[in-house]
Amino acid sequence: MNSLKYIIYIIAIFLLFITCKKREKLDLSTIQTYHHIAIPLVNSQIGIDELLKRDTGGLVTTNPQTGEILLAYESSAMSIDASKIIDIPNQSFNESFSPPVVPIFQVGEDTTFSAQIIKPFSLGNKKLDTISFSYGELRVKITNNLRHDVEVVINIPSLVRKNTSSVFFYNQNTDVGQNSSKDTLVDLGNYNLDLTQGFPLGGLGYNELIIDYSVKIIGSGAPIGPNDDLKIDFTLENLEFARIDGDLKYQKFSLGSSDLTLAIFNLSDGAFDFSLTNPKIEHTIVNSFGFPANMGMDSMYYTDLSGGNLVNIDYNSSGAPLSSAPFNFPTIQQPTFAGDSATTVIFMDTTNSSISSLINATPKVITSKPFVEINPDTSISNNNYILSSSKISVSTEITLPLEGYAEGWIMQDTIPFNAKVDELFSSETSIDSAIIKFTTTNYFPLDVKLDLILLDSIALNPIDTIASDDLIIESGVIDANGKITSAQAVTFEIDCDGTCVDNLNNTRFIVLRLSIGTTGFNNQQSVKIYNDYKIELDIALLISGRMF
Amino acid sequence: MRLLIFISSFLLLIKAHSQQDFILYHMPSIPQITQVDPASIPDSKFNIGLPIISSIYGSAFNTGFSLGDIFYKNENGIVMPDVENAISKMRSENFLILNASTDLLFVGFKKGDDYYSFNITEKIDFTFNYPQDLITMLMEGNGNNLRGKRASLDGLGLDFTHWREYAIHWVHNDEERHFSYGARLKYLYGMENFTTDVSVMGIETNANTHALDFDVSLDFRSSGIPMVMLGSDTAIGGLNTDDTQEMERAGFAEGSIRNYLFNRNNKGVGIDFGFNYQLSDKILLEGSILDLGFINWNDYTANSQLKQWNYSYSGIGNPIPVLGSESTSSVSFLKDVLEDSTEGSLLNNYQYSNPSYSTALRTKIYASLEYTVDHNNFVSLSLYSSFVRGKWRRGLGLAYNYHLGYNFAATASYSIYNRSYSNVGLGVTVNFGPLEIYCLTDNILSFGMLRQESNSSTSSGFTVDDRKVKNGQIHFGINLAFGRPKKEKIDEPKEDENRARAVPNESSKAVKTTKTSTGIKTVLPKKDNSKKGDSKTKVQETAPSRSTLRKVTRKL
Repeated sequence: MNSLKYIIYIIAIFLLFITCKKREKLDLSTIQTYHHIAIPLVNSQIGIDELLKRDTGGLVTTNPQTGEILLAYESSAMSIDASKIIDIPNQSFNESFSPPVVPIFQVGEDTTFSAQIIKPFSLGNKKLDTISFSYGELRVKITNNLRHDVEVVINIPSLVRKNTSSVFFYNQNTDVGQNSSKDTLVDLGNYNLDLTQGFPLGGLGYNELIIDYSVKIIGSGAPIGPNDDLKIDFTLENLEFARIDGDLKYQKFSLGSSDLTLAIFNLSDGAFDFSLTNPKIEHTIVNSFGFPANMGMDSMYYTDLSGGNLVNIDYNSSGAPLSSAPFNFPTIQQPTFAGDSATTVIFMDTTNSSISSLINATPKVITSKPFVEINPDTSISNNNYILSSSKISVSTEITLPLEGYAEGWIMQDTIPFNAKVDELFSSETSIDSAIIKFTTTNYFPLDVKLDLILLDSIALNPIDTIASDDLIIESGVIDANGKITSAQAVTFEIDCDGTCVDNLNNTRFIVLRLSIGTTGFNNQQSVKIYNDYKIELDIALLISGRMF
Repeated sequence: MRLLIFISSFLLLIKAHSQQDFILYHMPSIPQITQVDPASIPDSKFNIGLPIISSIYGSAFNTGFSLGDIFYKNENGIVMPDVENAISKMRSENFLILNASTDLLFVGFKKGDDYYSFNITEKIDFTFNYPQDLITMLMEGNGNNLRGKRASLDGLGLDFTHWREYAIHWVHNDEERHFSYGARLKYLYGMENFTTDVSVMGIETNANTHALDFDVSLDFRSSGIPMVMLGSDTAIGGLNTDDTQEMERAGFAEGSIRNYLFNRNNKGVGIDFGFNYQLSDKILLEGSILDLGFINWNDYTANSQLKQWNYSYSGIGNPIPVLGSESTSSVSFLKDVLEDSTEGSLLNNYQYSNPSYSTALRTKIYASLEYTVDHNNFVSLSLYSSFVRGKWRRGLGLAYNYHLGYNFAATASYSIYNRSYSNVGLGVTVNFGPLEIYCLTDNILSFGMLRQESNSSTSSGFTVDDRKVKNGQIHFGINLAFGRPKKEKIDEPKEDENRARAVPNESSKAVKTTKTSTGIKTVLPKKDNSKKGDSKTKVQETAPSRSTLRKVTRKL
């Protein structure tokens, strides 16, 4: 028992010693915290559209079969319509009839004289067979200088009424009093003009109008003098056709001049070197005329934006050496039936032209002056037709499959910046360091380097550069065909120490500068861009310091 | 003694955690001992506990860390958080437990072999379960130790109950069987409650992108808690403080306090059991089960549920606004984006209702072995266990108790609980006539840690000691105790009329009588095994010295 008591006393003394031991004082009101806060900032996917539309000026499209991305630049369409091919001029002619002299032509007596005239239609060198009018005016003026009444009958077999089950010609009976005249007006919109009826009569068989007329003189007891006559004036005017059939002969028409500005990547802020390996110019020609035609270029060249440094674009579709304009393209198709249209697409690519030379970093204007030739074979006769609605239209599109290699594509922007990290949580917040993380999963065959320059608000002076030519996005892995086989995931960190954090607090603008290039540029490795390519971008922030 | 050593060795293998009142368990002169040992009978015949001042109890236990573990002074004398040390001290789940209670009334009296008492006690119980990762996140954020992993906040929860207990207590001493047993039946009146039923919560920060993935399932109930709104929706709480009629019914309007104190429809029952058994002359076995019970909560209840809310935030899609603008800083922009996106998603998964519910009391188990050294000195070994939010918490204590007559008693203890090995308890009772003053603490090492005196005298700053102390507890009060046994001379043992006369024996010359914590004992000489045939007086061994009554003195 005594030993137990002694043990207890010793323990009590020991505990007393422990309780009396001097302790460190902690003033909790002066606690300074130190936190590490990890914050996600950005989670986005950047597709090909977002990447290209800013700096290409063209339309981003997709090859439906392969999924390959194409840049397309379109010019406005040029066309020629039917009125440019043929215009029917007004026609006018007259016939004068002088009957034999009769001292006295008794009342109750009459006599009839008939005639047939073949009048040529003035149509230049064209040989027209038929004209179906949509509108026109046939004016017939009969002037009777006789002292007798007359009955005039005019038949024009060349004018055939439309939409009748039987054939009806133009027929007009007109009574004209002595020493008077009479006008008649007929709308030719109801008639087709057959210009071939002269052939059996010994005429040409085209461009001829056949008119039959008879004059019946009804005696009035007055004589028929030698100067007494009857005049018939024919006028065809305001002639508009619905259709013309015939041989329109060779004609050449200029389609004017078209300029297409190719300013791809012209917003790049640096010297940009790229090459697209498979550019193509497509001329799409839609023809609704009933005749074959050729299209060609009177001139085709490109210049810089100021109009200088003209370089011709050479072409030859037959495999012969390339030559500058003027040159012809292959024959344009014609429709198989009236009212239809035929489309012909003509390509100019690296196999038949020198357009590969124009696709580079220098912005330029491509000038095209196309022409159209109809009935180019002048040694043969042609059976053409032309409707009033017929036209040939030509549109030109430059398609640039994004296939090639590039380096030095600079995208730079000065962006407002307002992120006082020292005000993140409280007035006591004081950040010692920060890490900006870029986590990317890149399906593009592009390497992206980053510059981040901080500017103050006073004259935008640079304060600090927190990233300089740093590779933040690495290209995905490509196969021998330049197609991505697997994405590349990379995490890149920008360390920002205390001084850098202070600079961030004072920053009001930030220069974001991206330098983009294709992987393997030095080896001229060609890559292809497909529509499913994307960059998955995560930006995160890790800040350390006193928060509260 | 060997048995004592064996049992203590076994119990020492058990890890120790939370604790209620170790010291009180070894202070039989204090009538409040019946609240931890229902089978004990105070030595006085009649006890009155004056309102409030008879028992004031307060405790704070933190299993995770001490203030000295989480803070340190750097070379510049600046107090900094010590994250790594705090992490090493904590386990995956930790508890902060705060308790307080006071007796509004206590009356007890003895009659024959029975003791009866009645008490009204106001109690507050608060438990905050905090995961290790929560503290890590609060101390250093999600960008260091928690980056690249799921910060597990599973189990994060708060349990709070404020209730009043009306109890009647009875204990009976069976002298013949050396066994006493008692029970306390309690009527419980609940005032406020907050219970976390389900708590699964995690925030994962991606190592590279710092994307935040939230997974949350919460289910908590409350009664009597004011409503807290999230936007236009009620988040927690069922008491509408904007409704004047409801506030009056709840007892928070002027002149309606009675509604709060007595008229809430939150009722329950509880029961305590206990026994004491004298294993031998010197060894007393005690055990008790406390707070088996429940409360039904019906007034101002609320059930807030967030079922399997999973949300990911990985940043905005357009990087430009992140950089801010002239009028809006990127910081405020990002805050708005994060708040708007999470709040919208949160509200879509949130449910709120007002059902009634029940909560169980936190059951506690005490067990103790007491060894009588002599009539003034006693040593005991105690085991405490309870269930805290489904976790079994245990404590172990070793106490030395000294009695100087009926006027002074002191107990010193050493206990292990709440993952703390630095708990030195001290208890003192002093009697001035019927006035009994006592003051107990399970951990005297915590005294002065908060530097109350210096902090109260200064208007700025709040200093603490960096002691590695996790637990603090104090229990003090003043009782009126009447009818204590008078002091007896130990050199003239009185004959106990209940005891047979001893048979004279040569060996009885070596008989000694001593006072024990449970009465006057006769210490018999060791048995002389070399002599056969002589029988010892069994009556002596079966004297009331083996009584199971927890008395200061004991009659032979």
